[in-house]
Amino acid sequence: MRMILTSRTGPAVANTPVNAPIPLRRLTAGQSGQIAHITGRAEHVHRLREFGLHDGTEIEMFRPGNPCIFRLAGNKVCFRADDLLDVLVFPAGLRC
Amino acid sequence: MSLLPRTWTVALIGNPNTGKSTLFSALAGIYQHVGNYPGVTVEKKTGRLESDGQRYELVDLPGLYSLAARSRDEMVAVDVLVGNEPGMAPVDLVVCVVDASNLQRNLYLLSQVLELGLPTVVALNMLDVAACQGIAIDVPRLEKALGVPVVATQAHKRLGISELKKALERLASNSPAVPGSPLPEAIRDECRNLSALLPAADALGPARAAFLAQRLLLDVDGYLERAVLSDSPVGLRDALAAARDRLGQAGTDLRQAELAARHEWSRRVYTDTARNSGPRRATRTDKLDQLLTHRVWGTAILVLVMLVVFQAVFVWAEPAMDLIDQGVHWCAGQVEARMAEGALRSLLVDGIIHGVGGVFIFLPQIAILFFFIAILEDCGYLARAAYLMDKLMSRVGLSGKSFLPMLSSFACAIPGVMAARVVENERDRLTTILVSPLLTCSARLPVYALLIAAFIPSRGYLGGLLSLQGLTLAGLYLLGIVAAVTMALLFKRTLFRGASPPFLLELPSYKLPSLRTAVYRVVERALIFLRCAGTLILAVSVLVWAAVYYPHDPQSLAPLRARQVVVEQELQTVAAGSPRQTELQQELDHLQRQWVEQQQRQSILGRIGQWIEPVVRPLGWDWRIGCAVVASFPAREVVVATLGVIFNAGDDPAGEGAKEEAEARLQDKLQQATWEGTDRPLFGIPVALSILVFFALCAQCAATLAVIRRETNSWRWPAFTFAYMTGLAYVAALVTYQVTSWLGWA
Repeated sequence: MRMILTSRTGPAVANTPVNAPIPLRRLTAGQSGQIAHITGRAEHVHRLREFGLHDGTEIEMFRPGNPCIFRLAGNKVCFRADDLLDVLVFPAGLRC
Repeated sequence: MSLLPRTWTVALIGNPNTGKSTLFSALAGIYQHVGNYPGVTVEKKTGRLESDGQRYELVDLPGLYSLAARSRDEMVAVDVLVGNEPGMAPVDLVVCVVDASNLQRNLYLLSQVLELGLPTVVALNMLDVAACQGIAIDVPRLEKALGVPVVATQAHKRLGISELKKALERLASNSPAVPGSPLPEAIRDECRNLSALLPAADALGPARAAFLAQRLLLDVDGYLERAVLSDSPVGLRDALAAARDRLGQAGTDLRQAELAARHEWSRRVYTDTARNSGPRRATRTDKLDQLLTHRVWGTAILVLVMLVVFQAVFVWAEPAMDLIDQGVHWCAGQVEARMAEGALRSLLVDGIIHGVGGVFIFLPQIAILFFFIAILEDCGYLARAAYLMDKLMSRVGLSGKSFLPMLSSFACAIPGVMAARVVENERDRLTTILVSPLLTCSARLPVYALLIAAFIPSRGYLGGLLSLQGLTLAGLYLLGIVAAVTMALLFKRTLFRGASPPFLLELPSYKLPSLRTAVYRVVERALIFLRCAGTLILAVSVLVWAAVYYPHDPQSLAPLRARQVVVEQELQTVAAGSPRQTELQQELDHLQRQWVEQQQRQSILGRIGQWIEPVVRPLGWDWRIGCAVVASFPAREVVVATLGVIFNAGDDPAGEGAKEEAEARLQDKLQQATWEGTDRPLFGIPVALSILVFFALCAQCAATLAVIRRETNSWRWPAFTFAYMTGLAYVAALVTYQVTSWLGWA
């Protein structure tokens, strides 16, 4: 059900400039999003990208907070943001 | 064809959590060896495989996401792959382990590995997990898309292993062509030019040189740049700068270009070969995670699991430890019965058998702890525990991965230090190793029990719910924790300063743990420990024995010895059970103790004790306590026995309840002890507390220091650990004694 919602709203949301990117950990449980941007030192950002967090990649929140657990292509990943490094996402609205 | 079969060096490479190590174990069986790469703390795992007359040397490289080397793990992997690792043959074949349920992400590393131009086989692992997630992969199509052989495996069920061996044979017999690179033409051109300039281009061969040049060009400020450019002609440095300039002017961001090219390649291969059958359903793992990563329930279960583990460590280890203890005593008895008294017998019995036996006794605890760690790791729970504990640990500047090593240290610091291998970040790993010995291990308990029972009044509070003795014990545990946390914060802000790499942790799907893997792990760690005990700890035991035994002056002990012979002779003539026999027996015991005491006073250790008295006086100790503490530096639990000898409590009599009796007697003796030549009691609450605090914080464990040396591959860290802990213990004991004396606690 969630997946269907995501695939329908994800790209539309990403294209809407009104929808500003938010820090990944602020997604609610079950909410999906698309990676918009990663902020931080270039080498750390590079590391996250090599891990598979490319702009536009779809993720789904499992446990919000910091550290958070999110789903990346079927698998779960735990991530902790800090003062310097953060992943920003376009949330797929659950508002609709 | 030569007559001798050649040995092929095979590197196993893959992302973390792909089941690479399980696959390695399945291939190498018992023929594996765990060590360290020279000079670094990275684990080196090698194994042998013989299949159909071919011999393979397998190297299990650390799990990584990219060959753009920045961490030690990645540097070692690159060094091994390009043949730069000293003492290792250049890699001939590569097995790239890929997690089928994470295929697209795993392809990124594979695309970098393929650039090596080495014959490569892809082990497509965990197809079953992928199937559960509704992902179907067309293996023949994947093989075609990648251009290298693909073998489907399920390492934990040992499926596909023989196929993988066959694929290796085929690779060895006819080195197939390797597919081209997805990188843009401009970058590839620059790489070709650079590779010709590399210092050892001819020795490396064209493929490896090209790979090295590529990584050199792409990894701006990376490891290779530092390693290769430091001792290479200026020409290469200029050429590299010029190549980057040219690409920069053409609008190419090198990092971005590689990411984009490989990501696009991975995406194309994936969409071409994998099929997602409809929306994902909640798997068993999801349902379990709902509970196990829950803030409240998950934490409660974690506490419960840890309680069970610790209970098991202490309860299950008990019989085995008793058995080892009996074995040690039996061995000592056998030697004593068969050898004439003298230096050699004393060396064998007191130095080697009791010295090494005293450390060997911790083996059951270590083995059981590692068994549980292996099971928890293998079933996937460990990553969840790291998630749950990360919030807490990140306040100390560490990550959740340091939780388990630190927790293990409450049983024994040795498995704690060894378990720190799960912490990939080097700075975090070293911090974890350095502070783990501060946590209260089980060897401290005998010391705590003795001194608390003897000197802390048994007062009760809240209607007996809380006792002062219990509170003191809890306070000592707390002291260890507070010290560890404080030192961890301090180390992270001073020695190991710097931005931590991102905390990113994959939570693998749950699976049934494999007993086989767990047993391998236990044997592996037990052997490491035994090797340590057999070498370094043995050496330390012999040294301490010598300090207690020498100078051995039979002359000064002769009168005692003469009387002993007389008493022994009379003892044989009197009737058994007569009052005279008891009398003689008592005198014999007394002589024995006097003999030991005199020897102790004149020994090197005794002299050291007297010599350091001015240093330990401010802690409220006399030379005898100083002596006992110095003697317990190799192993802190020894102090109970040493105190017994020094304060004349006598040997343990054998029989029922003997242990309690001996302990009560030692407590009496300690309470009666006075400053030499006065009636002033030696011990009081301040002295007892200062000894307790000293034991809580001091690095009195040669085995732990030996294991730190083993794990960090350098003497620097054990020396540092010893120095900082001893300093900390001294200052804390000083403050404790001075403050409690000033407060007038008697």
